Amino acid sequence: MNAFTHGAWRRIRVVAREEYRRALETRWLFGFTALFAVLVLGLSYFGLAQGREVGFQGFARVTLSLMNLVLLIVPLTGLMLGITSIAGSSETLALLLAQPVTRGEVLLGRFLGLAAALSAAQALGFGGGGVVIALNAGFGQIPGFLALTALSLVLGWLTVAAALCIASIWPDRLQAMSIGLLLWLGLVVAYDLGVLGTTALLRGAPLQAVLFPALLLNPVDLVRILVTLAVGSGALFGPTSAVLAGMFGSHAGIAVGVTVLALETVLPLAIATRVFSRRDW
Amino acid sequence: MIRVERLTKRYGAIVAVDDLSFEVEAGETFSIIGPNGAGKTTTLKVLLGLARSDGGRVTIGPEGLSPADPRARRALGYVPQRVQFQPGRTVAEVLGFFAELRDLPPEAVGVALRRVGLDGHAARQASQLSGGFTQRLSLGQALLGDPALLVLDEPTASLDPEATWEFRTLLEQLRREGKTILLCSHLLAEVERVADRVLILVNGRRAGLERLAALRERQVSATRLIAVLHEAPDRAVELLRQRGYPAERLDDRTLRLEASNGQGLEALEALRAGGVRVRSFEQQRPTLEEIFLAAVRGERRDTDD
Repeated sequence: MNAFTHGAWRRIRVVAREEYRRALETRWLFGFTALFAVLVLGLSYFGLAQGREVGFQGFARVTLSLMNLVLLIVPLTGLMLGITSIAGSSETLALLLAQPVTRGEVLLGRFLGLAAALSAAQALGFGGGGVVIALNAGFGQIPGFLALTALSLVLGWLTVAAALCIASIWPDRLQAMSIGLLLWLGLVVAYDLGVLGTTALLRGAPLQAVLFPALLLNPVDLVRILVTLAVGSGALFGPTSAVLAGMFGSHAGIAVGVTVLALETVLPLAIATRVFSRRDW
Repeated sequence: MIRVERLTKRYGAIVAVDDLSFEVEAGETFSIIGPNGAGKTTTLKVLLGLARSDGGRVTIGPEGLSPADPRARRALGYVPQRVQFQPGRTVAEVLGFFAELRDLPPEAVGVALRRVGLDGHAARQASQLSGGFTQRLSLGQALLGDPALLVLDEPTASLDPEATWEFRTLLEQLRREGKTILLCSHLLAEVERVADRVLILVNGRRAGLERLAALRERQVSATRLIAVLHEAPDRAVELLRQRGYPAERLDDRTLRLEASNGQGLEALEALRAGGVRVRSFEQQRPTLEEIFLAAVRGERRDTDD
């Protein structure tokens, strides 16, 4: 590694460490971590209450129950963390950018710091709850729980990258937050309605031709499918389960899904770096 | 140390900096002054690589580096007008972060703290410092690594008089040490203690570039005559204008005349000869600020025309 690259990585680490600390010190990330742990434990413990039995249940049901909450909360947290890192902090940012550091280093450092902070919060929430459940209910179905944990981390990084992209394009905090919330609503609610409508309109077309690109384009849906299939509960999707299993049930399908998620992280990060590096601060 | 050639910066249809050229020599304290919206901060942003120019050329240091080059920013320290340090950080941690970013050893923090008189405050929360101490900390981070050039954007704009005085004393000390200082302000009073040269910026354009000593000379040779008459001043103003004196009516008995030394008494003699009865008069010396404002207003008139 030459001196320049070494210097660049050192500066990226310095920015990332500071951003990691800043993110962890925000009260709501702490609250998010606590909420996660409570949800994992609560969903598991009280899940059987409906069956007149209170106690720790296995990972499978916890994973599926938790997944729906995770898919709402993680993107929102990632978006808000990323947006507040840049938008509305032009004075602080100007002082940082006036140092001997490139803008690319600053942006990458902030991404890594935020991604690490969000991952730490999730790991603590999932991990703490998971250990307690494993001790009480055993390790059955743990691969599905681990898949949810891993994909939740990826979803967090992806939304942080999207947020940095939004904040680089719209550095006004209110504007960036509004766009972030619209994106979140689009990902978790509006998109599915759109897909349903499109499917109904294209009734004659093969289901796979509509679903495959539609699922790849929405990371929230993609994570939902991958986790559900990992848990072995594809039947929950009803008649489409066979189609979904055909698309993402194999190793190749999973690889495609994970690759797409990685691309959906890298692409907004690349756009963010380009915009961040070219705009006036 | 800094060379700005025909710099132009636009924000949409607004021309924030218009064909601006100047040069800052090594070791001098150069000040950019001008009213709000004159383009001072925009000029600094281009110099710091925070904004891109739309025309012209800016180079930093003897190597002629572009502001976009991080090496150019290694040679300078920047003190913004306002800064908010991250809550939960001590003074030493704030400086530690910037020192690490500049690849400096931990000892650099102690050196910077001593230079700005904060060595007894290293463990205090940076976000809870007073305005004066916050700006000292800001100056401390700018001094990390002992850069040859300091760029300061209205550093005392939000300080109380005592903190302002203390900050200016620190600046004077740095000037004596031979630092090149680029100081931006809308107040001449803020820069007159330290500046060697003053660039007056109005509407993004250069309205004047003067040695402060020359401005002082102009001040010394300037006189303002205020004359109270026994009659309405219109006839007297007309009479003086006919003789080339720039007189103006102040109220229904008073006129004012901006003149050079000696012209005040000549004008009084002209009034007496013209039959105007003067009740009383007073000669004043305009302040440096007023001389600056006259230049600014003159430029504004030219621009409006």
